[in-house]
Amino acid sequence: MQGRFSSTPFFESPAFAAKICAIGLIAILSLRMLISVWLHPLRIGWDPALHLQCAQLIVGGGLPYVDMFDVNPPLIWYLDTVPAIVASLLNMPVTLAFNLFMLALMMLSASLCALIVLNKLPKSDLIVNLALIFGLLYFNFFLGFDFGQREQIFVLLYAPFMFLRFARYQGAAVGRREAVLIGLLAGVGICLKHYFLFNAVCIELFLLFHFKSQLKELLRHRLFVAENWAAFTFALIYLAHFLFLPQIVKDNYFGFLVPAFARGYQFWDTSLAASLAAPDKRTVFLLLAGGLILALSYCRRYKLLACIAAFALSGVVPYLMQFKGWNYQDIPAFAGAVMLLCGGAAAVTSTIVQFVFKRRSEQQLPILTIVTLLLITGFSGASAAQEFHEVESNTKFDMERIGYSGSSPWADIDSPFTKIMLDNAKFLDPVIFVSNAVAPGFPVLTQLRMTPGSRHLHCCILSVLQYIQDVSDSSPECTRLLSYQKIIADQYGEDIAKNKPVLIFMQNAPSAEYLAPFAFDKYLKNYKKIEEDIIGFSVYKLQPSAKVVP
Amino acid sequence: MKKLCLFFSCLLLLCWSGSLFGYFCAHQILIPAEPAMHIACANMIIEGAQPYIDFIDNATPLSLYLFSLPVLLSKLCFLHPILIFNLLIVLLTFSVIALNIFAAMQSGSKGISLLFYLPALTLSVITCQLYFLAEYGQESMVFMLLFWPYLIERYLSSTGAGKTSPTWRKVSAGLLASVALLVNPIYLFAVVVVEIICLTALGEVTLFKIRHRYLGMELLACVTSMLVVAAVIYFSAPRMVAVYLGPITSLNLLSYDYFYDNLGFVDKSPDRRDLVYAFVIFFIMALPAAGRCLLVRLMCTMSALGFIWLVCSGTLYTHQAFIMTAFSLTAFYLALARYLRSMRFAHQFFAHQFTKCENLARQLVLWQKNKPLVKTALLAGLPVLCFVTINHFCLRNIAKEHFFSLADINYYGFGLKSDLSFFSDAVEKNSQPRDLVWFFSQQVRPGFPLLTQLRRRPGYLVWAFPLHTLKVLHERSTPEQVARLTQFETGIMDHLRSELNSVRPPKLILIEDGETWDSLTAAGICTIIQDKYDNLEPLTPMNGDEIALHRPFEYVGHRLGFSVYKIKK
Repeated sequence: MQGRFSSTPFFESPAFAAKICAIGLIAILSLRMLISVWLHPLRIGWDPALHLQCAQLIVGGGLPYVDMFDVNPPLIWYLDTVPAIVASLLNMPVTLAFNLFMLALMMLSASLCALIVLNKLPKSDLIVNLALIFGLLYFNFFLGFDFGQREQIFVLLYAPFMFLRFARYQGAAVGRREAVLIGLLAGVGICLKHYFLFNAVCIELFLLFHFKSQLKELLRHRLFVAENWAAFTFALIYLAHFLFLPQIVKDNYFGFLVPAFARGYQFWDTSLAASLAAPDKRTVFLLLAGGLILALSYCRRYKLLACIAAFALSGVVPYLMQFKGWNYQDIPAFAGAVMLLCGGAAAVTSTIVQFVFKRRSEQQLPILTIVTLLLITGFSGASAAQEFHEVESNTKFDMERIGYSGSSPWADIDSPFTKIMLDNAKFLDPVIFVSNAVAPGFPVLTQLRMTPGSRHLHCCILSVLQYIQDVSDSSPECTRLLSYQKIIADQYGEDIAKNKPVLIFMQNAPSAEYLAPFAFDKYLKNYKKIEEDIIGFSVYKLQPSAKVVP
Repeated sequence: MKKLCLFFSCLLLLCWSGSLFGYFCAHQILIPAEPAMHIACANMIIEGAQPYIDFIDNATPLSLYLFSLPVLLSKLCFLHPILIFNLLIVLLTFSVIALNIFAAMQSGSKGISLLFYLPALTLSVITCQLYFLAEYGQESMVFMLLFWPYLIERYLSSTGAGKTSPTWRKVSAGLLASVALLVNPIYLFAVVVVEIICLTALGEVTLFKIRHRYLGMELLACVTSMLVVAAVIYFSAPRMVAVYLGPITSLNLLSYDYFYDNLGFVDKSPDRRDLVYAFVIFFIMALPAAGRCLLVRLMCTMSALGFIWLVCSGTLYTHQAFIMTAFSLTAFYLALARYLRSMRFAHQFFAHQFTKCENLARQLVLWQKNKPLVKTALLAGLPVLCFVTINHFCLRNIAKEHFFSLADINYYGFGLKSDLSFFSDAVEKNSQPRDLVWFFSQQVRPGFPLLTQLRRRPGYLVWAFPLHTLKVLHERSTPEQVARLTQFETGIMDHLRSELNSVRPPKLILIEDGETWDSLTAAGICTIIQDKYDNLEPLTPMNGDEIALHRPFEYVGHRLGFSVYKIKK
């Protein structure tokens, strides 16, 4: 019996076992994520929900920075149009479509990395490299409400590019089509936020110094190659597309939002200690440092570990450059740390196996594959069962109320405003949150399928302008930017008059104070204040007499 | 080229040592806050006090005892202990670089790479000390200097190049490392991590390799002396060790748990992002070389540990980033040396330039070899020249009225008023040298280095570090945790009361407003103070005159004012 099994390709060829291991890893972890996504069809974080809302508005014919105001560059909205379209075609919650889209990205990223690891990187490093892929999938499970942030998408889209660049520098033969595909994906990832260019440059510098080569060879076979051209071309096209946008879009974005945020983005700045050393922040950096030490222990033998270490560490700089201390901004560092820890753990296991069995660890790959897959299946199954029981035992929200079938855990949509919104508005009704942050208007608006009642999805911009007013000089540029305070107040008024939002949630401080000098109350004359203070928000309800029946 | 490396490193070492001597002879009372506080504690130890029993601080016993050396020397030669401390650190720097040079010279053909790295190593120590001159003598810098030779010896042993090294060098590296590790308990992680790196550097682990390459004399010396020093401290003062391992360690651990909430606001901690950026860039640039060279790997590992210590510090002062920055810079310099060497082989242009340099170097070496007198004069004269030049430039533009004689506090020498810390006028005016002065704030600054500079004595509570932790303890902790430290807290307050009511009470009291004041008020200390002392004009670090007169100091949280009390006559 034993002989019959040991003569199968699985036991005979480590490469075949590695293939099975890679497929198994991706399949099991993707299935685990699918279960989680399916059990929580409405779960989403505030920023991803906002971007998704913008994507829905674009799909509906809206113009960025005209029909929706936010400072973020538009690429994420274009990307989110994919789940937005799928959701509208299949009549499924857009949040569910988005989470499935993220799952697809995870699978795509891990599969491309696995293809590179299996076909282009040394067979002797298979165990560690497969563990890195495991890490690439595994970090996604820890993101919670930050699942779907641009930082995560960047990591997923950039990882195959990093693996490919590493293989390229090692002298692997790379097909043009796969290089172009991976390059395009990386281009999308890097262009999501300009900070990500730093990570890419760091990796390129690392590779440049790691692999010695003659200048001619370097230029021809390593730098000016298909994946770099593809990424660069995408970036150029993306930049060029701004030229072809309607003038009003360019005026609003480059004439107002970008200069305003460039001057006033420091409004949310924090201290270095709060960014690095606060108890809820430091774990990521301690993990990262632990991962770096592990990588250093084994970087002599497993060179890809050093490359991932460079990637993980480079994630600290954009995090600190932004200086907000927001958790999601350290996702690249966190993802890198998880990958390093997984890779490092595999390297330690490999050393122990080698020491105990006196055989090269690759020869033990079939056994290790079976053990690993069994363990992962076991843990995934147990955690899925636990999650299922948690969902089943908790209160549920019937999604028929928002026009879909099925149910969602109430906890996913629970917020101080959920009940009041459900009691006073129907799905697709226009609702406005006048708040100087993305939350708490999002994700609840997207989750409950309400329509934004104003082009100003939030009023962060008012805080930015207030900051400019407080700290800047009275230069003509500042005066010009500050003149937008009144324009914004008027735009809110126009939108209220036009869309007749059923509910308006007004943040008592500071948003109401920002708008008070412009007699904002006059826009609320058709509204009745139904709540004075829900976590600092007053709630206004449209009076029945003012409603217009379409 | 080998000789050039040696010559260049020796020259650098002499110039740097001379320059530092010159600088600190000009700034005789210049010191960062923490070492100044430890000097004050060491002074109390010399006078017979026991740490944690007769006064409270959170440093390790060894750290406090080490500072007794400059205090003892000061009592012998009547120079300010700050000057002696600084000169001792210069001497340590000199010794460490000299040990490096010896290691490179004595490691034979297998250690040739160390010789090649020597200028990079020397330069990195100098660059770090130069950049962190304001933090000269901080615990982190002392740790780096003491641990440095150990790293070099571990590198030589693990690569098989240490066989020809003399035993004295290995043993002294081990001894220095053991002192470094006991200076702060968090440094103990360094030896664990370094040993993991050395173990993995062996490749396939065999008993032969472990016996001949891993178990070096320096490792045995380090572990043995660490155990001996720890045992000596424990058996000579068991009560002191018990208090340190009990309440003091609990307080230190709690201060890690209790993040100072005020730091969540903008600009409420020193913004040294530049150092983190430098660490990231240096580390990434060194990583490619780390895969090929154990020494670069060790330096990178130490800088990663430095990053952990920075994050765990919770306050992120500049000196807490020293280890991270210094080791990453060293790793970068070493890597750079490697890249230059590889460029020499890869590119014709670089090969040509290197050949030209080598020829020049050969000529220089031959020239100085044929003129031993010139060489001796150069080596002896250069540090003197550096000393004189730096000393002259430091004192050049300082007006006469900004000097003051240290004779007033019974030392030889002079001080510069600009080197004094904030509130020096108030303390000088209202107290005498050797007087007991309470200067309570949540941070070591601005109480120190002022008290040490002006030779005032701190009281039982050297600085008010436990008050914040104890306050938060009552707000957030479990009853068991509170019960464990209640007796300690009561003891502190009783001590303060008895000090106030003693025959030699504090002459001057400065208490930071806010939390420190509230904690002392709640314990009834402030009521006694208000009874027995005259309330003077409050002081604030935001005062324009103070800011103009003194060097700025780093601060965490809000910059609060101080209430000032002088004893009634």
